[in-house]
Amino acid sequence: MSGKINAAPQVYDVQQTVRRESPTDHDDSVHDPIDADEIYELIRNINDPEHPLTLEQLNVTQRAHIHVDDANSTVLVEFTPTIPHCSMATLIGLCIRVRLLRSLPERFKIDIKIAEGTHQSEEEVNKQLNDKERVAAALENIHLIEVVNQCLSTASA
Amino acid sequence: MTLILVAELEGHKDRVWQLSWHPSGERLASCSGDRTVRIWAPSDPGLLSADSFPEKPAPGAWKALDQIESTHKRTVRSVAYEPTTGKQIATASFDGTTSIWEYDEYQGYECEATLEGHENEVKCVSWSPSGQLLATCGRDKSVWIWEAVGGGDFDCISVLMEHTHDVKFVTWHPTEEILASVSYDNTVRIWKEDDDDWYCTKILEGHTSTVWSADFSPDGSYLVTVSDDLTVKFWKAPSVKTSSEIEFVPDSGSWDLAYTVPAQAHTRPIYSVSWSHHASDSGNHGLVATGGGDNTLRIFKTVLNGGRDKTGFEATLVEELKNAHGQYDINCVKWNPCQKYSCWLATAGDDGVVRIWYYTA
Repeated sequence: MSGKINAAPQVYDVQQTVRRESPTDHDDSVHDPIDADEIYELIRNINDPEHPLTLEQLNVTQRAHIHVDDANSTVLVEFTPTIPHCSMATLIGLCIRVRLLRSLPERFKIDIKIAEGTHQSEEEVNKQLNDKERVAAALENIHLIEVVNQCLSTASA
Repeated sequence: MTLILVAELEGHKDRVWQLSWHPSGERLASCSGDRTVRIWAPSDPGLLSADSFPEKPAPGAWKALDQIESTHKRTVRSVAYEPTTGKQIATASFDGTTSIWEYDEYQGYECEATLEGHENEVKCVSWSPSGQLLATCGRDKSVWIWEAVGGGDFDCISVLMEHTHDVKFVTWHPTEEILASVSYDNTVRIWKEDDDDWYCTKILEGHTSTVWSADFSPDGSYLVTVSDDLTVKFWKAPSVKTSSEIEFVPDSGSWDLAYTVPAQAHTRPIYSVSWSHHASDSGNHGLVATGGGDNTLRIFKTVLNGGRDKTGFEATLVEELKNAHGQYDINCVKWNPCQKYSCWLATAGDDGVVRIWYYTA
């Protein structure tokens, strides 16, 4: 037995979406707002901590669950754990947060949450993922950050 | 009313977490994710007593005085000047230790003692007003009380294990040996000693998310708390009112909720609160500053005998400064503890900068 939390997750088809290019993309004089597509591109290829599959392949991240308000510099990413008792939920959320922390302009306030009703400890996980002090401490934990980096190694492929 | 930015202190290489004023009010210590503590002071001490200020921060008005290249292996989360002489500085770190530093004219800051015991991150250290007791708290859900035993050393006299999640912040009552602790478990606890035994006299419930910080009013008759639930709550100390003075009777009753600044005041978690040391008369109860994840610095005026029925306690917003640290979170706000310098406010942010403000009512 593999001992994995979810030994046989359902795998979803991946859409080979490439972000559509806008004519003003290369014009520096035009403010280029960060949008949900851009965020999705950043996180869809994050590797699941348990399987050699991406968060997109496991349907953990979905484009419709990303909410961006560029004018107010806020990003909310909701994700769906593969199973409601997934003990990896916090780690997955942390991976998404770290990916966005490293990629987005510093002005953004990032909220990471579990899609409502998809995890039995939803509130607990949300609280932990959005506690800046706990996140700061986690990022100083060498072993944890190694695991996060491993999950992120596929993200920018 | 105006808030004037007097100085922007740059030097930390990571976010600044906390600030502590020297008891003289003429120095400021800051601690950071870069594992150092920096000491700042006005270049000209006369600046503090000056009564006019430039419109823009004057370059060089404040300077870096000293630095503790700490031996902490991780973030220094909390810093506290010893409150009677300011000769020592306590630091608390995510590395699980608390250190006591003493200033030596020739050697600079030297580590006198390292207090070990917390299982992991220490989140706050606070000195009792007498300088005889130290409180620390951390991720391991505990609050530790330490007693000075001379020679810069401390003995642990109590470990309080009643919080159910990490304890974020501890602070001492200004006149009584009473400690307040606030936690990720959404509660505030009030601790007191009875015959060498520290016990929880009261659990303050009402916040619906993590409580990040707290501060007593200078006379100790109120406690203010700020939270992830975006509210600011004021709690009234147990007291009986005699003629004109408030007599503090700790066991005379409960710490009742006196006033809540509704959630609309802040739009992201509130990380810090500080009660000013302005002279207060019977009505005016001083100013309370708050700062947090919405980048906004707010100042509330507190009054007794306010509210609709003129009997209650009330806090009204008198100053709101958006982007006080640009687009970054404000992690700490701290009024100068000296009454003569009570218009001075220091703030620290995720931008790694410490800002010094002058507030005129």
